[in-house]
Amino acid sequence: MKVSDFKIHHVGVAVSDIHSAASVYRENGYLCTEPVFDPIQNVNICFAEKPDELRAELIEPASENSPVSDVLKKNGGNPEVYHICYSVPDIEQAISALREERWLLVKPPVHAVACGNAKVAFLYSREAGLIELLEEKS
Amino acid sequence: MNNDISPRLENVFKTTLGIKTVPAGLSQKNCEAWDSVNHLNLILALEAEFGVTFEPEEIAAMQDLSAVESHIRTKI
Repeated sequence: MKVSDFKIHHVGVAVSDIHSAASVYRENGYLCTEPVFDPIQNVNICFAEKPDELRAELIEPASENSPVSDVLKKNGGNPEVYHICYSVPDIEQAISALREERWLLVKPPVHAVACGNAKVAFLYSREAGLIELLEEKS
Repeated sequence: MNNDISPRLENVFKTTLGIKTVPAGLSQKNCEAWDSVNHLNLILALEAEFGVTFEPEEIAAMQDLSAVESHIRTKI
């Protein structure tokens, strides 16, 4: 099992101001959910969706301690796509397979409020960067 | 750093973080190059160098040179 076997669910975009970012997406025909605070990542999250388009997850750091703060700092405070999220039917199985491929498990599976309490986990590869896995049972 | 794993550890830090020296008190707080992304690169490089794996809670705890060295010593 490899990342190429998974289906992309969304791209995660780090933003400094989630309301300003959502306004721009709305002006471009996206429907944006209301921001939700995610205590696991210490961020505010909303989804921007449009039929037949890739879904974007807008992620705003809720404090300086958020890992997303570093991403923005490195990019001069400008928005940056910093992870791709893949939908998987069994998150534990997918993590095991990726660990064998030398992906680093950064955040173990937790229930994410912004994703309807579905389980999410984060993994990292130096070559491919950060990915999120979202468990979606079929 | 004056023990057997020190040269290998020092080399991983220098290569990954692009720093010239590895002082004993090196930590994420006093090294600008040791940011959250390079922290993950450092962990991957340590896994490869020492043939070990780290769990997420260990990754979060390894915030200075001393903690890194301690965690490696428990695994080799």
